[in-house]
Amino acid sequence: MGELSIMGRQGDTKIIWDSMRPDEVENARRTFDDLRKKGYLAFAVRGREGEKGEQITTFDPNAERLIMAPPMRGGR
Amino acid sequence: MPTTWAGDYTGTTTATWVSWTQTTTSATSNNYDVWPAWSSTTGTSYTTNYTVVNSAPPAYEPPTPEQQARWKEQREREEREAAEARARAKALLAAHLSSEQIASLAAQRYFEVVSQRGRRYRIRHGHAGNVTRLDGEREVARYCIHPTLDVPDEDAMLAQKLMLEACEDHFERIANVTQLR
Repeated sequence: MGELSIMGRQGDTKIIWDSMRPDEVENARRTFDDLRKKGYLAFAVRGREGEKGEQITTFDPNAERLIMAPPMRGGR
Repeated sequence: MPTTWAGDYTGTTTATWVSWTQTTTSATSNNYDVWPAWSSTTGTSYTTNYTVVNSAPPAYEPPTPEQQARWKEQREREEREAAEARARAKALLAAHLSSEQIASLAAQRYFEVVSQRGRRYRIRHGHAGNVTRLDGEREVARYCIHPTLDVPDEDAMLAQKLMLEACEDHFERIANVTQLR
């Protein structure tokens, strides 16, 4: 099972998929691609002890956990 | 209804102006003819533009009990949603921190990360301007960078952590940096 957490105003929204089910994978991939087009940053993370994430640009159906953060900008 | 003072400016104040300029300091006494010249060239259109607009404020109508109940319900709903958003963001952040970082955040309201290039950063609880780079124990630079969406603070902090660990160049390119030394 893979999990995609999308950060938003109401906290994160989760999309969970089973890599053996093409419809679920496709749904997660479509969401991932739509958000990437909007400038979201995507990270693949592993483990539960604060391990470093890895920035990704394409959807990985075999990923354990993905996090998508809204585009970032510099402040003043 | 036309104002009385506007009418005075074009007519009756000429004598007053001349009198005033002649009785004031020498620096202004030579200017007594400025006002008649100015007021004669501006004409009546200037004065007729000054009319008193009906300035009476609308009568105050206290909110009805139904309005008050609706506002209270809306406020409570917004507070509930904000609390739920914070709880979700807190759980997401905690799921991606080490036990040491969680303990530091609870005790000091910050946690530290080692970046992609091996530098140490401190991420304080907050949304923007909350990241500093460390040299030993000294903070040498402050970074202001935040999500474009108004996400809960904990989500902003997780995004900052992930960027520092996975795409530090991108982080530095976007962030506004203040050198602290």
